[in-house]
Amino acid sequence: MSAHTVLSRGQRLVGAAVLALLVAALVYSPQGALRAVMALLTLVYTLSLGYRLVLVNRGLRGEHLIRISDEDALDLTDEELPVYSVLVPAYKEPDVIANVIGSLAALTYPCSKLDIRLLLEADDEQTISAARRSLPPDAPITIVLVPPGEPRTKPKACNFGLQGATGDLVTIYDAEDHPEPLQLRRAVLALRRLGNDFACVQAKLGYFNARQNLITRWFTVEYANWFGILLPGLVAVGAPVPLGGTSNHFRADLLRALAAWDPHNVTEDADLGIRLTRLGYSIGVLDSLTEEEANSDFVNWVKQRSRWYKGYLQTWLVHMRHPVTVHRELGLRGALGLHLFIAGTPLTTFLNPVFWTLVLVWFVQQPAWIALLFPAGIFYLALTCFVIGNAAIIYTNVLTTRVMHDPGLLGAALLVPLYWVMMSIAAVKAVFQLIWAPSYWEKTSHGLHLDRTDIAPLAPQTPT
Amino acid sequence: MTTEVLTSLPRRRPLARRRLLRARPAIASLLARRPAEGVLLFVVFSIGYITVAGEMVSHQIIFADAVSRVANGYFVLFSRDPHLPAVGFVWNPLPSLLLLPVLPLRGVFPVLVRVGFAGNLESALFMAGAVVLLSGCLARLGLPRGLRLVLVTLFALHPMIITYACSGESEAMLLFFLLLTVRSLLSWLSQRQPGQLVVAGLALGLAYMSRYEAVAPALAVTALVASVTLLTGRGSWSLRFRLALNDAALVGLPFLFAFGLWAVSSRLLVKQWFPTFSSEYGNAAQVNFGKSNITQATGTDLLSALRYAAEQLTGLEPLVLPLLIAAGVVAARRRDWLAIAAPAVLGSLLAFNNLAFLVGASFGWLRFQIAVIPLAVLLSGALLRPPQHTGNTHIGPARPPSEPANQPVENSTATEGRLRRLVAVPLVLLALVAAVPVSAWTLTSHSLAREETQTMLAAVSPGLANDEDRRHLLINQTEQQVAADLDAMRLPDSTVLTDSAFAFRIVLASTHATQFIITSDTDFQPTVTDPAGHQVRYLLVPEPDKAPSDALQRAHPGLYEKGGGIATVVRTWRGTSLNGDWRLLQVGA
Repeated sequence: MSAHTVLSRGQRLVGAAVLALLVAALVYSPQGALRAVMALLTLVYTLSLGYRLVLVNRGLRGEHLIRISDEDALDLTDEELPVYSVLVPAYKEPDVIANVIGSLAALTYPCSKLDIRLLLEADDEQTISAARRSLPPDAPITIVLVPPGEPRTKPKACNFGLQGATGDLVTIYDAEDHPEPLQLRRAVLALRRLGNDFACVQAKLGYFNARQNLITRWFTVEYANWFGILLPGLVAVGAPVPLGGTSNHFRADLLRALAAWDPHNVTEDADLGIRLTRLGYSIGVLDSLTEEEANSDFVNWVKQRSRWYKGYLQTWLVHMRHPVTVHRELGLRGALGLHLFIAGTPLTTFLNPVFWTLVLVWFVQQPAWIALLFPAGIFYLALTCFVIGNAAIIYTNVLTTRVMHDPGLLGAALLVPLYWVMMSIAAVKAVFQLIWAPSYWEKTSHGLHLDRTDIAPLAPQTPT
Repeated sequence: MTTEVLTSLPRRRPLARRRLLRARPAIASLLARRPAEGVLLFVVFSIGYITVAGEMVSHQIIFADAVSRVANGYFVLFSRDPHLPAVGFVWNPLPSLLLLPVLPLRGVFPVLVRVGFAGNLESALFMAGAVVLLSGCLARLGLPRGLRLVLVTLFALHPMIITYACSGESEAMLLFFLLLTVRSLLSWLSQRQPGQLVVAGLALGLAYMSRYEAVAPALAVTALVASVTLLTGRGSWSLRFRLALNDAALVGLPFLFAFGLWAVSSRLLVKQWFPTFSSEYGNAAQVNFGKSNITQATGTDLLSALRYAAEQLTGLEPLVLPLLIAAGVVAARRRDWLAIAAPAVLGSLLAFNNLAFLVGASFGWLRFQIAVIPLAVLLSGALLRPPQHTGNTHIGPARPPSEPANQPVENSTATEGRLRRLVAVPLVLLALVAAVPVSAWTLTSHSLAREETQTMLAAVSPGLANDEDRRHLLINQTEQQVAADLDAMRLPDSTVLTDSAFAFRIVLASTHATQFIITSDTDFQPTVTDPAGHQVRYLLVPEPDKAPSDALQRAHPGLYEKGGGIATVVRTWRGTSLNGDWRLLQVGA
């Protein structure tokens, strides 16, 4: 089950059949066909919105955010702690590599139990030499050179790094991450307390450069909403949790048995989360923050976001190769999460501009053809979804700034509709790229919070 | 990865099954916990209120505003031009919108629509819900179960509360949402969870969708929340200021949204921002029309109006002022800020309603004072709450965990407890019990309960009623006759033109609603201007001095008397009730 091919043969057949049916319907009765499509899309929107509000409601109760106190985390003696493998994949990031050493040194964990593996591409001379330069001789850090070869993706590097890892537990950090110092200890305790049903805990991700500009403010609110409210909500309703790209802490044996990450999926983390849920394992969300660098540049942001959306769609398609099996394994509520959250998020974002345009045109000149597209009941449902749905999502952001105790972001929370436009641009890009270049990894450049002149030019990547 | 790997893994029990296994004790513990009490209260009082409502309707005690809310919902679904905006923009729409799922049952239970019983069901359920919420508020104040249930019962059996639980008007819904606001505000004041502000905010937004006077509690609560955060938070002033802004947004935005949504929809669909005030059917127009009637009962000068309002308030809760003062003194002495929640929500509503009355913008109906009843009960709750409970809930930086929460401050605690049990509890209960007979008397007072008295007297104690009182009982009779006679004519669809702002009872009572072209129809205005050109056969109009803003008569002066040059009078129904006569005119004949 890899995203090496986007569609299975069965899916291609079904897709072609649906497309043919749609074309036939459009020819036979254009108005009826379009009405049916609108009704279906309105239904998808309504369900996605309803699902999201349920998640907010459940996530807000905070029952499913796993909290480990400082005292408990520090009480663990060196003997009690397992060996911990920390994978740090990096590619063409000579500027931030020194940071890795700094923030990993800040981790409160005995050196003898740490197995930090810096995963560098064998032909990435710049980063390798930067790493060799800044590496202290006695640090528990191994430089692992990943042999070049396609696909050149983060999950492939991680799989390679996992092979020699000696830890009982494994986690991933990006080069620019600042994990909270007690995070590894909290994860050890969390997994120990949660028992064998839990395969993984995901730490919360946040940003250290929230105040750099409006984009980073939006991004920060979004992440706080995602990791602080929505993911605990998913845990609460028993739906699969799409893991974030870093700071997920696994049991190593289980991860190996699962064959770890899918090197062809561009959101290998989300895919892994669903695979774990399908096998009956649970994922917890750990109340410990890893600070990353928020993408502050518009183009760079769109690239990163389009990769995520593409990955979510890939993931959904991969798991829907055997729809019956998936539904049996996930149960109804879990499957709802897969459809409405994993596929629903990019899909509704992709369709948003269409509906925004329709609403705008409708209010400006009320043309009859729009009225014809919507049967009465569907029209009111769509209108309610548009008006109440958008207001509810803005309100959720206002709630998020309060929950994260950062009221300075209130302005960004209220302006979030502009951020949605950016999301939609990314979603459109994602959908087209899914068709033309499914495994192309949109590299996110880091270090944009540093002085720009320090950054080496980014070499363009070749699509696979 | 390959499927072989997947199958070789230590597969855990399928998630769905494991969840089932876990679900069972969860349900059991859910039932064992407190909700059972709430469910019981709700069921008991729903059944009670619905029974009384049925009795009232069978005695023809029917309130006009209740029937008109049902009619607005009915037009959305079953008029000849069914569309959502037919719900109308003069009155806030939630009471009518919530009826939409029930109205299609009219085939099985015609009474739901014919006399508007759907509205009575709605108010009964919401008032039963309000009873449960009040109990929740008192529980959050820390009242022991026995005392709490006594207070809740005194509220639920208050004659005014029973009347408006059964009347079908929107008072019950307003109280429901306001008590939900009080309840979440009490939780927030003691726990400071942002989610509690979300509930309060949504409740205020919904309160505004039920009644426009909810604007007052919405503003008051927003201000209260902001000040509490500002004054009692930790950290620098600038952080506290921004937190206060965030909290204010959290609790105030749903109301602002409801307010904006309603105004913009009105502007888009009827070209007015606030039709309640600007429409010829709206409150302002009605108050103006009824001015002489109002001042006749309440006096013309400010002082007599003030006295009138005070009489209404004390007529419902005779000892509310002493309760307010005592609760204020006790709360200030204990530095117990939870006491402020109910006055902020319910007090601001009363202040708004009475201010509107004093400046001559309101009818001064007794029901506009209904919030004083839950206010009195909640003030009693604040007064009687055990002092040890206030320890955790006073506003201010949280106590460090090492410090015991209830250290005995002085030796006086024991004496205070005895004082409370032996003096305060009986006194407060007496104050609330006294409200029952006093308000029963008020409800039969011709001057204070102008809206309710006549019908109630005529139905309940005909001996005390006069002729005019008795005419109130016939409020539906003429209209039902008109509907029956029109139905008998077996007219085709879209042939009878009428202004449903006045004819709504007739449309509801008719078995053939689509024969009427009504005010909410999109082609109503052009049809009024040129009935003949729109194939209208009959015009149905009310007596002019009972219906000053009837659209047909405004467009065609002299229509009622002589047909206004476009129609001839074919039939007159002599009105038995205060609503006056009806006339049917044939177009062009």
